[in-house]
Amino acid sequence: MIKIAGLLYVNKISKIFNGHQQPVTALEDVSFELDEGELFCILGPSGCGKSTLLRCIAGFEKLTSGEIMVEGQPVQKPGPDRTMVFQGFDQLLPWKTVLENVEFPLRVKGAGDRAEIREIAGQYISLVGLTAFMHSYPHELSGGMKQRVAIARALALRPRVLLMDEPFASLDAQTRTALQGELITIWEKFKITIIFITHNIQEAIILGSRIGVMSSQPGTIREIVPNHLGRPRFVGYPGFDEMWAELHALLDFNRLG
Amino acid sequence: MIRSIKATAVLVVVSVLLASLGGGCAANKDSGTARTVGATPAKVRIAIQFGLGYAPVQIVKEKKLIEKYLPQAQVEWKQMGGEMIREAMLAGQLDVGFTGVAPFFVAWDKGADWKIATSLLSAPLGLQTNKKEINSLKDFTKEDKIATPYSGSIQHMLLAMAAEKELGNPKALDNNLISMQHPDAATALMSGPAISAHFAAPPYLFEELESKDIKQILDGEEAFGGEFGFLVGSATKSFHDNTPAAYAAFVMAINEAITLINTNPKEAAQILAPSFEMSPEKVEDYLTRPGTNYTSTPYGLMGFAEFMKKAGYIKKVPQDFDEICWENIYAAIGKKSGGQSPVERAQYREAK
Amino acid sequence: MKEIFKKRLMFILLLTALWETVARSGLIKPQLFPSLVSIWQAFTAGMANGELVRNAVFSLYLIILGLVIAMFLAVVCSTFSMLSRTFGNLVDTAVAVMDPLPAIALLPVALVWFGIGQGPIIFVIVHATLWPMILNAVTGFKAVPPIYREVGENIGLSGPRLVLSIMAPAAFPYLLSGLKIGWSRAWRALIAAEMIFGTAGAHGGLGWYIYKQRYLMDISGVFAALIVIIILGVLVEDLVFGFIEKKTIKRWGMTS
Repeated sequence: MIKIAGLLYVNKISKIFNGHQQPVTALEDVSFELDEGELFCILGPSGCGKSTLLRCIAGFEKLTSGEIMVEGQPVQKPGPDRTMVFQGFDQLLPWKTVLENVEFPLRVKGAGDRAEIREIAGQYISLVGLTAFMHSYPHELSGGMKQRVAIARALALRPRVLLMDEPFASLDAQTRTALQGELITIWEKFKITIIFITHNIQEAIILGSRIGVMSSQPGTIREIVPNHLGRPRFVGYPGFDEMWAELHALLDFNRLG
Repeated sequence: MIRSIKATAVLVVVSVLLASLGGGCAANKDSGTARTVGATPAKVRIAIQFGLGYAPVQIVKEKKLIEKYLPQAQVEWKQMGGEMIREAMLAGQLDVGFTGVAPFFVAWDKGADWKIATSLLSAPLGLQTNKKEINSLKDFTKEDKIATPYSGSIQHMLLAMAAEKELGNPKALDNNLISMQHPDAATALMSGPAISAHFAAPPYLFEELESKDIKQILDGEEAFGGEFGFLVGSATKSFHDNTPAAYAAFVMAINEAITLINTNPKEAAQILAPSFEMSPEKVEDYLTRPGTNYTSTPYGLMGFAEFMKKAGYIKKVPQDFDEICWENIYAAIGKKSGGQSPVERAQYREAK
Repeated sequence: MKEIFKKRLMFILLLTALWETVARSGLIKPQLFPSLVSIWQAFTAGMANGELVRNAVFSLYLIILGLVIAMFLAVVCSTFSMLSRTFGNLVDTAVAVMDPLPAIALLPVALVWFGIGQGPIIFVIVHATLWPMILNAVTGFKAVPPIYREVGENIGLSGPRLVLSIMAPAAFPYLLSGLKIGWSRAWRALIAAEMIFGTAGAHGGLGWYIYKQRYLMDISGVFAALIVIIILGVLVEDLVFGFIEKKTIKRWGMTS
C-alpha cells in the first residue's frame, strides 16, 4: 500500500469519451500530486482536456483508468470536499439571493442552525466584498460580482480542494486583475488548496505556486513548472518575462505538433 | 389616433352589416316558403322525438300522414335532442315542436310566438324511489337526489306542486334536484344509491315499477289535482300564418294518428315496434296502460300556468286561451257563455 | 401600457354600443339576443339573490381542488421521469396519448366510474390539466442548465432532494406556464362538464347555472353567467398569475 503524502493524488489517469464517430482520448496518463495549501495552475490551450481533468477530480466524469485520491480516499462522485467554481456567469441559482446562494450549501451540509449558517455565509460574502448586495438577486449583479459570489459559495463549505475552471475568462481585464488579487488574498488568508485552470499564461504566473502545462491530443501534463517569484506578482516583476517565455515555449511546442 | 378611429369606424360598419345579415337570416328562416300560398310546395319541418308519448308523431312519420292531407307537402324530419326543440323553434329551424306543457309556458312567457296546435296525450307520471325509508316528500333529506329531465320540466313542476301542498314551499326540494334524462335516471334508480328518486314518465315508469325495490310515492294526477296534458305540439306563428294548408294537414295527420292508436292499438303497435326497438306486444301493452290517454285535447293548461306564475317560474298568465292556442284547440275547448263547460273547467286544477 | 388600455376600453365601449343598437333594433329576436339592460338586470338579480356568487364560488372550489391534485400528480410524475429513464418514457407516451383527448370527451367514462357527485367533474379537471403540466414540467426539467445540476451534485445533493431543491425551482418558469395552460383548460372543461352533466350534488357551478337558465329560457341569465366567467378568467389570469409572476420569475429575472 503506497503511502500517499499529499492532499491530492492523481495517478496515471486517462479518460476516453465515446464520441459519435470514434472514441476520443481526452486525457492520457496524467499524474501529479498536490500538497495542502498549494495554488496549482493548470495551463493549456483550448481543447487540451484541462476542463475534463478538473471535472474528473470533481467527480463529474468517471475515469477510464487510473485513480484520483483525496486524502487517501478515492474520488467516486462529486462532493462538498471538492467544491467547484465553474466557468461562465450562470452558476448561481437565480431564484436565490446572494445570501441564500451562499447559505444553501451550508444548509445542505447541515453546518449548524439558521443563525449560525447566516453568520458564516455573511462572513464569506463580506470576504468577497459584497455585503451591500446580500439581498440582491443574481440577475441584478455584474459578471465580476457573480463570480465573487460563486467563490464565496464554494469557500463557505471549507472544501479540501477548491477547483476553479477558468472562472475569470469572461471578465474584462480590469475586473480580472482585481479578482485575481482578491483570490490570492483569500488564499493566503485561509491557506486553502486550489486548482486553477486557465489558458492565460499571465494569469497562471500571477496565481500559481506551481504551473502544470498541458498538451493536447492526447491531453496530458507535459511539465510542471514551479513558480518561485515572490508575491505580489505583476507584469514587469523580475523574472516574470522569463517565466512567460518558458511557458510560452512549452505551449508553442504543442501548436507545432 | 386618427388612423385607429378610422379603423374602428370601418369595423363598426362591417359589424352592423354582419349583425343585420345574421338577424335577417334568423328572421327569414321562419318563413319556409314565399308568402303567396300555393306558389311553392309547402314545407313542414318537424323534429323526430323518441318515447312512448310521441307515438302519434311516429305514426304520422311512418304512415306519411301529412302528405296524405297535403300531397305536395315537403316534410322534413329533423333529428335533434329533445332539449333542443325550443331553441330550434326560436332560431326558426322548426315549424312544429313537441314539449311538455310546463316548458311550453316557459317559452311562451319569454315571448316565443308559437301556440299549441295539438296535445299528444295525458300519461301517468310519478315520483318513484328506491329507498325503503322514503314514503312521502317529508322523508327526503338534504343528501337525497331527485332526478328530473331539466329545470322547468313538467316533472319539476309536479314535484313543486306536491311540495307546496305537503311541505308548504314549492321550492323546498329544488336543491335536491339533479338533471337527468329518463333513460339515465331509470338506470341510476334501478342500479344503485346514486339517486334516491326519479320523477318518471312512461315507459321508464313502468319498467322501474317492475323492480321490487322501487315504489311510487307520488302520482302525477294526485300532485296536479286532476288530469293534465303531458306533451303538447306547438306550431310557430309563421308556419301557421304563412302556410295554413300545411298547418291544417299537420293537425289532421296527428288526429288520424291518435285515432289509430285508440281504435286499433294492435296495428299502431306494429308500426311503432321497430323504431321503439320493442316487441309489438310490449308496445301495445304500454299504449293501453291505465291512465294513458292519447288525445289531441289538452288538459290542465291554466292549472300549470297559474301555479308556475305563483311559484315564480313565469311572470304572466294567459288571460284567454287564444293567447296560447291556435284555432283548432281553441275551438275544441270552446267558450261557454255564462259559465264554464266541463272542457274549460278541465284546464284548471281541481280545487281541494 | 396605457395606450393598450385606452384602445381596449374604446373597443369595448364601441362593441357595447353596437350590441345595444342591434338588440333594440329588433333585427334579431330578443330571445336570442337580449339587450344589455336585460343582461345587466339578470346579472344584478343573480348577484343579489346570491345565486351567481354561490355558483361562481363552487366552480372555483372545484377547479382549485382539481388543480391541486393535478399539480401534485404532475410533480410526482415529472420527478420520477427525471430519475428513471423507463418511467420517463412511460410518462412521455402517456402524455402523447392523453393530451390530445379533450377532457369533456371523458365525461361519460367519468360518470360511469365515479357516479354522480363531484368525482367525475374533478376527474375531468385533473385530466385537462395533468398532461400539459407534466409536459411543461418535464420540458422545464430538461431545459435546466446542466450547471445547476452539477452545482447541486457538487454540494452533495442527489436523487429526489436534488430534483426538488434545484431542478424544480430552475424549471419554475415552465411549471408556471404549465399551470397557466392547465388553469385555462380546466376552466373550459369545468364549465362544459357542469353544463352537460347538470349538477354535482346539491350545489352546481357556473356551468350548472347556465344549464338551468337555459331551460328556463332566461337567455339574459345565460349571458350574465358568461360575463361572470369572463371576469373570473381575466381576474385569475391578470391578477393572480400576474401577481405570481411578479413575485417569482420577474423578481428572479427568469422570464424567457
